[in-house]
Amino acid sequence: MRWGEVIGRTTATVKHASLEAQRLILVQPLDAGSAAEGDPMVVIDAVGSRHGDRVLMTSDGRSVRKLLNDDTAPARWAIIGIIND
Amino acid sequence: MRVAEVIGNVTLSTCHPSLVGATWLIAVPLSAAGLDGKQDGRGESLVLLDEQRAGHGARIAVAEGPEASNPFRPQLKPIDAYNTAILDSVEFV
Amino acid sequence: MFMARITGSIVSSQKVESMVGQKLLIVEPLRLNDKARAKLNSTGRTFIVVDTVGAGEGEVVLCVQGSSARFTEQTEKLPIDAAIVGIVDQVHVGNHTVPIPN
Repeated sequence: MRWGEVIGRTTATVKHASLEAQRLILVQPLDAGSAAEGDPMVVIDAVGSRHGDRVLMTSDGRSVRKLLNDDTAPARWAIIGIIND
Repeated sequence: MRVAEVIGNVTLSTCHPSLVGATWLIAVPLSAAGLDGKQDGRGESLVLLDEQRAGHGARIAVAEGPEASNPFRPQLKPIDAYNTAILDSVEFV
Repeated sequence: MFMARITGSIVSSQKVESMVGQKLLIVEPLRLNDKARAKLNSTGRTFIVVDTVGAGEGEVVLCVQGSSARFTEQTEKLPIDAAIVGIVDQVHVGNHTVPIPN
């Protein structure tokens, strides 16, 4: 699992069918010292996170496919929690 | 997934039988600076399989890793990068 | 997936059973030069890959890495993390064709 900050969102009309009606959130992964680490990521959001939230993300592809209820979803990362201030 | 910008395409003369007919794009992943429109902030190019028909210059969400081949289950395809979505907008602050 | 040029091969007589009969090649990943993106240059790195298409030394190939390298019938049970899955014919960037290095 990793954590990061919600920095934006994306919209897509043309996408893999498994992502229909999904929110695709832009998250900047952070290191232990809250500095940006790596490129921003597009992730599935299961908890309704908002801009500026610190969020917990999982890379467990199986649970993400379960979340989307679709075994063919080409996704591995999802937001599974909002971190308290 | 990362956001990447499509810069080109690749054709193959020979390929693994499971990949016949596939379309291959070249894209550069965008860092926060790249998303912000800066010319640097573009990473090393990668090749990905495209089924969404993304055009040159499009911003796409790229699945990287074993999940890239999920769309073809239960078939096995040796793919580690897949165009998941053509992004209409990237709202970014 | 990445493009790479085949620069050599590896011969190993003593190896795990599952790898018997597998062709092992040495490849150097290529990258588009920074600004014009008009040339493919070697990155200077090397990978050892299993060949699934009958590629030969000097050819530019498309490689898959990570556990996806096992997603073929040939490689499903192999202890590998990279494979060649295609031979590159043409590369287009913007409106120009990028020469394939030989």
